[in-house]
Amino acid sequence: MLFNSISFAFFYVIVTLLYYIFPHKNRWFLLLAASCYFYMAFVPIYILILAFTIVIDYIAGIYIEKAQGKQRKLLLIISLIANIGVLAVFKYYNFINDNITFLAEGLNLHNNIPYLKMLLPIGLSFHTFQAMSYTIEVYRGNQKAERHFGIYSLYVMFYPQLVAGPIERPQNILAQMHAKHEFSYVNMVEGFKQMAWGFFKKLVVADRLSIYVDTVFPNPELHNGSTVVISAVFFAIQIYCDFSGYSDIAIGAARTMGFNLMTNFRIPYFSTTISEFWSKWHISLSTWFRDYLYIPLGGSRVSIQRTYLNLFIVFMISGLWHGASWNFIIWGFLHGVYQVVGLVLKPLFSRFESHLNSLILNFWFFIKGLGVFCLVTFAWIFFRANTIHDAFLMIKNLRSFGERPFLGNGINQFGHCLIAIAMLFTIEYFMAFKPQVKLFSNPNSFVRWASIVGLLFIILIFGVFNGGQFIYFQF
Amino acid sequence: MLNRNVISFFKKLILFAVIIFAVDWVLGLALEKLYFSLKKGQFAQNTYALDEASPDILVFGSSRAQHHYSSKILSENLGYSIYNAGRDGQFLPYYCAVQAVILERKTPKIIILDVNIWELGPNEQKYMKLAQLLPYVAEHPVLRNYTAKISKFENLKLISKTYPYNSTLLISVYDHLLTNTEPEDDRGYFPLVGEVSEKMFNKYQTEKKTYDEKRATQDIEIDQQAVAYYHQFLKKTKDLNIKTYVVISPTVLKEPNTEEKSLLESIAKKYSNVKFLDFATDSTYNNHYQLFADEFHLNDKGAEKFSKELAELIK
Repeated sequence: MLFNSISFAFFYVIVTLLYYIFPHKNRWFLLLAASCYFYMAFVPIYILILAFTIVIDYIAGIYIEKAQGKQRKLLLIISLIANIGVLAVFKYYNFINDNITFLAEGLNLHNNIPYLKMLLPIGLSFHTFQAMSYTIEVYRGNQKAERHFGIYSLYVMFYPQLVAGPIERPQNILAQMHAKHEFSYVNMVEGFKQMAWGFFKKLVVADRLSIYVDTVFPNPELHNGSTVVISAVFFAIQIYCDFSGYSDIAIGAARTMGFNLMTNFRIPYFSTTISEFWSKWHISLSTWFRDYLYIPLGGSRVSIQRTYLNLFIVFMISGLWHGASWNFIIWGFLHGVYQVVGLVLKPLFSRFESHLNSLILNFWFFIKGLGVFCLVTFAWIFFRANTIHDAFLMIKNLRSFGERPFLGNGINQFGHCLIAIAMLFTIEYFMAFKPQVKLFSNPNSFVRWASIVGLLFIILIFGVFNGGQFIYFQF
Repeated sequence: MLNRNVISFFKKLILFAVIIFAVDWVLGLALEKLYFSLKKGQFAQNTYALDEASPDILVFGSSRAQHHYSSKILSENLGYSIYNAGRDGQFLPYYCAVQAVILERKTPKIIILDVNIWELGPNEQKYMKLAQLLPYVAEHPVLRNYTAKISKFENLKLISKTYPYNSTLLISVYDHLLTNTEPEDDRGYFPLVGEVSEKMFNKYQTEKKTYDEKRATQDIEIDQQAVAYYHQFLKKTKDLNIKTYVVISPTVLKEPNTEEKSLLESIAKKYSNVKFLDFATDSTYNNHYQLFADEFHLNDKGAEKFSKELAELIK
């Protein structure tokens, strides 16, 4: 069930109403049943995969808590293998097989390992990572094992964040699932506002830009350098609005039921360094990798060369987390390179910046911000292209930059894209740099109401209805 | 007992709903007025086709129909009134919808259906683009059968008075502001000027070769719903005994005989009132890039030559 569908509107209203009608002790059951229904609206049978990991991790959590010494570690490893095993089978099996075939052909051998013909379960990487964070936190002693099987199942399956995050930590969300949430006017209104903002990003910006992007990326042989640049920039904005729009709707929907999910995006395209970008982009995944991979590898408390290696490992795995293809690995590799180069240049930039007056410094930050956007956008080409060959072809086509670009079906399509981008960045500029100018939370009720009604009608007039699903569902 | 918090929320929610309803009504009326006051451009052409057109010859199709069939030449050579209802980026479901509305008003003597070789291939856009018909649903309820294909709850969305004008504001304003600079169409026909250069033609050839090679490796499915629409369109012409021409108009590069193309021809041949004409392999057009405005469309010279040739075949 997609957030941007009428079916979801019905589902959401019914579930939220029932949530407040149900007595507290039965609410977990309502939410769990609703979450199962929500998930089964995609491919029903895949709920069994979720059930498998839920049972394993639930039992593992209890036994890890009870166990001591090596046994404790062994139970954690069993739980992690089960989770990663599910990912390996459903997400990476065919990719590994592809590479074996490629290597075998290079050695004039034949690979007889059969391929699996199945769809990737929606949001598999998200709920698997959330489940893994539970057993790791229990192992570390930061979280008590959850005894209530229904509540634990809900922790993994909570419908707003089930298929595309934010990837929650047990310390934040499990306690909230036990707590009684009274109806709160503030939560309802703030939740709705965040949902409306998410719908704006998804329907007005992401789905509009996707019409252009989806025309160019599958056929790179047909497009010149100017078109490649436009489509890459459009995709950079599309994926941001698609994913952060989803997060906003998820966080808003949860908020209306009294749940506070973690912030997942903080206006990342106004960042002036790559590390700042990553502290504002998909925060729940970045912090997951930081806490469960980067720091255990030694983080930055090791030699500088080892820190660089740790960064590379984290970003390569982050690439692979996104998808089983070399495109994503290259995307991760590029970000690894950006991070290392950023670390090397940091002292130089700091020294340089200390000599600038405030006016020039602002201009310098603008240039740096533009540079970060260009680097991130370049990496997105690999992320979005159907194959590595297509990505390199697009980069090769950049030689013809300056030729007349493809403008879609004329003023209507391209003009809408530009209007959508202008609206997004204007509002986000005020959010980032002029937070005192409040629209949706203005103390003047007329301004507040007018801006919310205005936002809804912008969605109705400029939005793309019947658009596609969210990009991150595939991960 | 409901607490004050809940009551206060629902009171404000009702007030909010009333405001939304009122704004929707006012804004919808304003957009409707803006939309239907257009005199030129694609929306005005849609309005004319759906609300007024009742010619002897009707042309249906996508942009290739709109730019390839000169109303003046066909009308002069055949001695009939004509309207070209071809529209940019449209597919069979749209042609069927427009056909249903116009044939309620008048039965033409001749119908020309211009089809693309990929007409029966999969393309989700062909149903999404039916959204262009939403402003006309209130006036022509038969269109609901088609707009329902856009999405499951499409007709429910029409409760909103603003929704039918979704994505029309920009072009409405643009057409109003630049109405004097916009070129006039000739009974729906819109000639394209300029011609493909030799350099561009060579580029098209290279790109087409890559595209055809890529396509050859792909398993292209036939869209059975599009096939059903194709049958529906032709059956209606047969029921009303309208002489019909299914035409694949000229292409600058020779098009291969794909499965979709063969199916277009074999279905057309099942109807006794239908004649199938394929210009996609016609050597008087293939490679004659001077007759084309771009990779897919004839220019004014090409359209003139083609329209004369077609008129001779129809006579």
